[in-house]
Amino acid sequence: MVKSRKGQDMKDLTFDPFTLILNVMSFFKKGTKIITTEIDLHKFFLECKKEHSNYFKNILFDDDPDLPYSEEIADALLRIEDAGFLSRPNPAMIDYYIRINMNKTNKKIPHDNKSDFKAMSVKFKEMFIHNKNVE
Amino acid sequence: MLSKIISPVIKKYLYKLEEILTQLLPLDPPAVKKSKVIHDSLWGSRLYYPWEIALMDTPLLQRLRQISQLGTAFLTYPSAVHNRFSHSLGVTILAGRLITRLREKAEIEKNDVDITNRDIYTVRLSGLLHDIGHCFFSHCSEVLMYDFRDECFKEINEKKGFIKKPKPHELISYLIINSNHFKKYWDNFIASNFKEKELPDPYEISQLIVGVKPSKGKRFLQEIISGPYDVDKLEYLYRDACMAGLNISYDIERFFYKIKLSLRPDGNKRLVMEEGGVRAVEQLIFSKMMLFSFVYHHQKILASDSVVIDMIDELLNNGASGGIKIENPLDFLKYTDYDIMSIAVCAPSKRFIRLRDRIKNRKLPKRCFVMNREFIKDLGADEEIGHGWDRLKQDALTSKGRNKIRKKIIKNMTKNHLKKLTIDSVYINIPDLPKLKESVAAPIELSGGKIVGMNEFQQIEGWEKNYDMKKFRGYFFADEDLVQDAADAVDMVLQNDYRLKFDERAKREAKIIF
Repeated sequence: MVKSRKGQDMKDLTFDPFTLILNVMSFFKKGTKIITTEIDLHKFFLECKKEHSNYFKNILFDDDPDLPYSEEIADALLRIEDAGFLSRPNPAMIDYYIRINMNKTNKKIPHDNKSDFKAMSVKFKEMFIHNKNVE
Repeated sequence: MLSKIISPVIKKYLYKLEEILTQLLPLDPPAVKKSKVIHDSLWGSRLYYPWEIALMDTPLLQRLRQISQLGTAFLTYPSAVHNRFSHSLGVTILAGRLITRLREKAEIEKNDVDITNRDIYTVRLSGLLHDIGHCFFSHCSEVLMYDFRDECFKEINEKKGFIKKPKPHELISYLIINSNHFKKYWDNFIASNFKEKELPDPYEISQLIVGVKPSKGKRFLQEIISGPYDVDKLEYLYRDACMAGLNISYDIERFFYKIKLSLRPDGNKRLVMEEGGVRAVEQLIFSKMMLFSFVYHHQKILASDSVVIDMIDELLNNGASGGIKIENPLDFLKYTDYDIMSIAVCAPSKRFIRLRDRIKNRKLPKRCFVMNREFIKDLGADEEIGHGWDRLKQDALTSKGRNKIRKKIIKNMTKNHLKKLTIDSVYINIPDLPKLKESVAAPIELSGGKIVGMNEFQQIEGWEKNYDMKKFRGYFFADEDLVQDAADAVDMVLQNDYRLKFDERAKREAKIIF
């Protein structure tokens, strides 16, 4: 917990993009299928930035209306896939699968931030997940 | 000018920069400059404007002749000795060619794209100046400038609309062009060359270099210099391949003929590729991937780069007393590869001399442990292992992280080794993956006018994933007589500190076991 100048507790919003995306995905079970292209994930996180701007302060976007793109999001997705949390076994590279149960990651989310990440994950589910895998 | 952009926190850097620029950009009136034809091995004889010659003839640009484009790649590919100066001249030419081609095309098709002479001068100057922030051994010194970049960028970004984080050298180019000293030079010696309406704005040039969207809806100006279709990439891929002697090519003429401007819903005119140019884009991306495999990620080049990075780190830590005086990363601008390698310069420490001699005599460390995600046991079965692999790669990005790992390995080796070991007995280099993903969103215009991303035509993400799984390698290196012991110690440290167990391929690829 971070203290404000007046001594009040403030939420720590300094999550790096890797942890931020992982936290959103940690609400879903192993094996969850995420039906999306990477471009749509950039669109999703650009939308999240509008609602939860403080979490995305250090994440920059090229906000082209049709093809939004963020280097930080692209790098983080690559890191998440590289570390084995997500996989894309399909040849067309359009669907992602959650490969690991992320209970430990989910438990590590600070209590004060949990509702924000939960809200993002609910939006994420509405857009990309068509089964009942949100815990 | 800079004081308006940057807060007092980084004023120490700006003060230093102004001081350095008095040497690199002397305010003595230059001889009257005329346009010149300069011959380049790739692009042939090309005309440069008087104001470009005036800038080219300053120490600020001339120093780029002594900065190797590919760091220490010449130790592996002996002919890859090209420099940042020839690359900058090439980018100037390609920027001019692309924008004039866009104008010609629009005239033929009777489209009003409003490309003025001022726009042409602006993108050419951006091409010429885009690398002035590069320092000795190019990306080797840049590796040590990320903290500086983050410190400066944090404050600048709050006031400006960046669409991506600039690389350290881009940020330094931006700071140089926005300095008071550069402005004085520009006002005194450059501005008078132009008609009033055609005078480029240095601030706009600096924005194009770092990727800030220009005003007036002319987004394409920035994209020519920094974007999925930028001429920087077109130039360096072609030049690096040719100079290394690799047979990699792409159809640059088709690329230029098939690119056009499109008015986007947000009012910006952007570069888009016609459907017929998709193959040229594929060739470009494929060439980039091949160059990573052959050159940028070549194990021997990563080994020699690691030694040079240590030399530069030594300068940062102990460079206040030697002949090369380094107090902060901006001091890098005062020196070139020649200065760093010269025995005439008083070296800051014995360690620096040892490292320099390793490069001079090409006594490079040997690989002792080779890493790829597919070699890791149980990756994808346990969160902790995934976090461990990611943490290792993040630690390897900083000298603090690298040195911590190296010290632990040395400690493990010392237990059963009589030879006196130092931190320079072991190196780690885990490079970044090639950034092919930016091409995923590269805009392609379908015949009906609809814009889609390049991913609709080619699974670029699949190429990147394939590179990651099959070609990408991270390395530990050690002195030749230590490779076996070092490999065992690396294995132990990775298991204990990162929960990573690698299968036998890690040692087999390093030729420790057969």
